Amino acid sequence: MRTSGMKVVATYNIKGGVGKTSTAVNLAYLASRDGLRTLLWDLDPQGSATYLFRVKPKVKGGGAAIVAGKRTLDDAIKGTDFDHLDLMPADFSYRHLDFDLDSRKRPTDRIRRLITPLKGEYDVVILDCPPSVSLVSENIVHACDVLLVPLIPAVLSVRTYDQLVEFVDGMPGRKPQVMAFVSMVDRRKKSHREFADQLPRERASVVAEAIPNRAVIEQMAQERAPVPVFAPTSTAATSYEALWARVQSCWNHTGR
Amino acid sequence: MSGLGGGQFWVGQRPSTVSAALNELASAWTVAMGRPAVTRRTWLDTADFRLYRRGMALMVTAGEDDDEPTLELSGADGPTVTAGLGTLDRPCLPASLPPWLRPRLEPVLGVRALLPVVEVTGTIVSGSLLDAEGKTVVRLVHERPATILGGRDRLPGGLWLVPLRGYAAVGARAARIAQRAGLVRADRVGYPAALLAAGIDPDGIRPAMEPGLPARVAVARMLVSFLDEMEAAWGGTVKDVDIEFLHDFRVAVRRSRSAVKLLGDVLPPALVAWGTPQLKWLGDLTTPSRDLDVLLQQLPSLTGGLSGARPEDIEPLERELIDRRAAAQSALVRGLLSARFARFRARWRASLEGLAGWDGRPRAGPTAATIAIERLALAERRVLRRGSRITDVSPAEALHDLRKRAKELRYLLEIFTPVLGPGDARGSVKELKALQDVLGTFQDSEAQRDAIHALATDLIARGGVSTRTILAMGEIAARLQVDQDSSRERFADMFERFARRPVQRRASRPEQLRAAPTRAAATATAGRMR
Repeated sequence: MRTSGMKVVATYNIKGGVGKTSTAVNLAYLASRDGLRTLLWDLDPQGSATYLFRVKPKVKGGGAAIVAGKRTLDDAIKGTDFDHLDLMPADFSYRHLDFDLDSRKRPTDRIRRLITPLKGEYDVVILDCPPSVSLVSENIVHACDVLLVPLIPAVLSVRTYDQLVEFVDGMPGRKPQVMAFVSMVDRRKKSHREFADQLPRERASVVAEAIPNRAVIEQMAQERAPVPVFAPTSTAATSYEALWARVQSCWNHTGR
Repeated sequence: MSGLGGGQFWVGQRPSTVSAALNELASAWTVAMGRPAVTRRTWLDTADFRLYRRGMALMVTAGEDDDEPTLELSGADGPTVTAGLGTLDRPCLPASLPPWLRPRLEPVLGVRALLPVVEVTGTIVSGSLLDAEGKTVVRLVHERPATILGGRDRLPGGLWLVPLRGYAAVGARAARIAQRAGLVRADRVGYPAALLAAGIDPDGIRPAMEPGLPARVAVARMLVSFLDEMEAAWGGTVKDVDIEFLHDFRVAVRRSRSAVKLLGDVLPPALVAWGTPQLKWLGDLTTPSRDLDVLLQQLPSLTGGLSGARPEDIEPLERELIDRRAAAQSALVRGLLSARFARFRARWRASLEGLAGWDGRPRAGPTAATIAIERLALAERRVLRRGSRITDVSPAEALHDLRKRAKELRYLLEIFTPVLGPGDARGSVKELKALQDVLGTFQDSEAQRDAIHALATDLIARGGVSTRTILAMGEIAARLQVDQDSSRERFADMFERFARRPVQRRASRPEQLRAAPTRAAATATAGRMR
């Protein structure tokens, strides 16, 4: 199975703890399981995705060397335990990534230019982004084809999402497809159920494929593996599969 | 070709050496091995080893369980690609390959079908070297010695060490440990190793013709090798595996006919008198099928972009060609399965093998070198004489006749390559080939145009064919006429180039050849006539 050209998906939200890393890790695994050559770049200095794949959160020369072009991504990429799935590890120095980017020419386009040489090597690149509004986020928006936004079932998260959509709309040049989904849904709570059911009806860019708030997702940290590996029949695994199918249908339909 | 992408295959004198190496590796990392699995591995290739020659390998792996077999394509210049097999016909023509595989293989396979070449059954144990975090850093695959289907030998076992990306240093350390434990890195792995173990040599060359061989022995050996080629293509032709089997069969027949015609005077006259009509019969038997194969193969390019035709207008023509081809194939198979063909094979081989032995003692009569020089000179004079007579208004038959003479010269050049030296023969064949291409297009265009006219006549007589189909056929015939005219225009230039650098000037060096009559010249035949 192959896509037409390398696709870049970024999981992003201004807020932390909304399920970005879980989504990035599980979608990256599902892409590779489909036979797509996949790279997950853990851009978050906390390095949670890197930890989940049992890789050391260390990049020689740190983010500065990568951004400056002194080291290529190729030098730092690590194979994971899964076929077709590689990881660009996090490094604690990524906390200075904004500063590193700002010191370069065309600072908002740097990440896109760093991943462009990987076109022949990967079918899918997934960027796991740190929670912030920064130069890094701006880079990510420029670099990706699909901006995947997890929304927790809370009114404020919708307000933040609207601000993000407005920001992307106002961006000059190439824009990604923004796709939001409801994350951490506790079906026992009426408010969560209503939120997850209504929001996709109210906003065209919010898809109906929601991710439940399940203990099995928390267990990823103990198992150090994607959910479909250790709980393949769980609701969480099937939810991620549905979301992955939706992301694919997005670029199949739009050609992104 | 590395087999497992980026990995190295290590082998030991004894199977226990791999266990010893695994124990050593366990002192540095956690060795996690899975359950042994009996697997059947089948390497597929064309009859003429097109994948092997490109450094590629296509392997089907099937386990004992009901899991879907996997298909793995590895290439010299591309990554290893693995996918579920689904269904794969055997033999498998390029058109029926899975969609992910077709673009990769079609340019290599051409019209040839994939066939199972080597099949082995053995036990494989997969595992990993895990670091302190429990992460795989090197993949391990322990292949135990495997049984080759239909063979007596076994495919040697060994240990694959496949470092993950970003863990090359760990992989190098693991390799050093394996080496210390007594393993050595295998220089031939995967498909080439399986071919070797199965006793199949795709690089095998036709026995060289030594210049000092008595001419009779040399010609007999050459005809035996052509008979070998005919027999190698016979099964695939009868089973209609792909159209190249028939082509190869015909090339061997044509080479035999040319050799008998041009060099047959060194053979017993009775054998030549008997063999000549047999070979002609084989040529005639195979012509209708081959002509239709070529026409069907070229149909897409002949019909592409026709101004007035829709796909449905071409369909009746294609159907008719397919029907005729099926009828021609049946007649061909009847001939190839007949008692006459069996008698020919047996008598031709027995007679030729009786003549092919030589004890090395001098014999009366010419040597291979002598007749090479003499017959090449004669064949070339014929080409030059006939070619120089051709003008813009010469009848088509004159060009057809020249094509036949050029083919004879080409065969002689190929036959005598070991005698001439490959450099001389290659240079000579290059200009001759350019001339042959022009003459070939000229004749093929005419033959195909005649076939289209005959088909149109038949279809009209039978009724039920649309006017649009007949008009489309007319347009195809007109295109073929344009091709033929263009070939005629190019002929003078090509012939002049050929005549400017005669074969004899470079190839005929009697002093050198006579001075070294026993030089072993084990060289591959230069550019085979297709």
